[in-house]
Amino acid sequence: MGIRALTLLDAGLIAFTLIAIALIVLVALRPGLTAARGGKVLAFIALFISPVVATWIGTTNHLEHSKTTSFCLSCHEMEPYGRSLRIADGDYLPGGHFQNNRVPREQACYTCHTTYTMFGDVQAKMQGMQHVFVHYLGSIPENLELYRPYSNRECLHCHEGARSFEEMEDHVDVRPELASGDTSCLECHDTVHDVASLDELEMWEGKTE
Amino acid sequence: MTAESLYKRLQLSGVLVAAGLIVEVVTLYWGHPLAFLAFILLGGTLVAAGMLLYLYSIVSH
Repeated sequence: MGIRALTLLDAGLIAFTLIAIALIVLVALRPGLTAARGGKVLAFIALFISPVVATWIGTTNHLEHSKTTSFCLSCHEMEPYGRSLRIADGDYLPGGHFQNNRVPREQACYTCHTTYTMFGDVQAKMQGMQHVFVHYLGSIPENLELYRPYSNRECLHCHEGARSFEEMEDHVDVRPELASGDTSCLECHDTVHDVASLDELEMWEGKTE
Repeated sequence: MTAESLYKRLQLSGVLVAAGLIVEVVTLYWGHPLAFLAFILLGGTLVAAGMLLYLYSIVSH
């Protein structure tokens, strides 16, 4: 069972929750206080306002934490995919992005494996729930695969408009096909997580997060 | 509803909300994928049950 490193926000939330619990204990031990107007307000703050606020901030906190690379790699099925971020060959897409800060290292998995649509975050969380379900109650496939083909939209979210992308000779002719999705980025950039070859590849020893 | 039964319900709702908040705080320390599920399914349910009992108590008093 891992213990999370707490941020200042976590500490603030915990302090707020402990104060809320203290108010609740006060109301529960002396319910007669609620006979007066001030006691009614106190009970409303203790039993309604503060739990709503604590639960709302806590939910946001958990959702933010679930975007971190360390969270994704906390499942042992993901361990080889985490190692593939350290392959010392720029042709390997995940390693090239991770090691060169093309994606934030602390949110490396999430940055590429979320969908950049209105409900992309929600969709990613629902898939995370599905992973938890399969991990505990289903059977884990030997070869992990994406639920659906990787969309160019996720690549173009960052690369579209970038000079290195727009002016590259190989991209110029196929830009309409890339934009429409008729040609996948992965048709050329096809070296991705290659977890089967990890033991044969040189690894980058720099910092990870 | 008498004041006595209102106070009992307030105490019960206080116990439920406090238990839920304690669960929520504990899950903040827990760096495991199940932490969020425990937070929302256990902590959230206890908090929601306590709040609903509190609201029901004051509107039915």
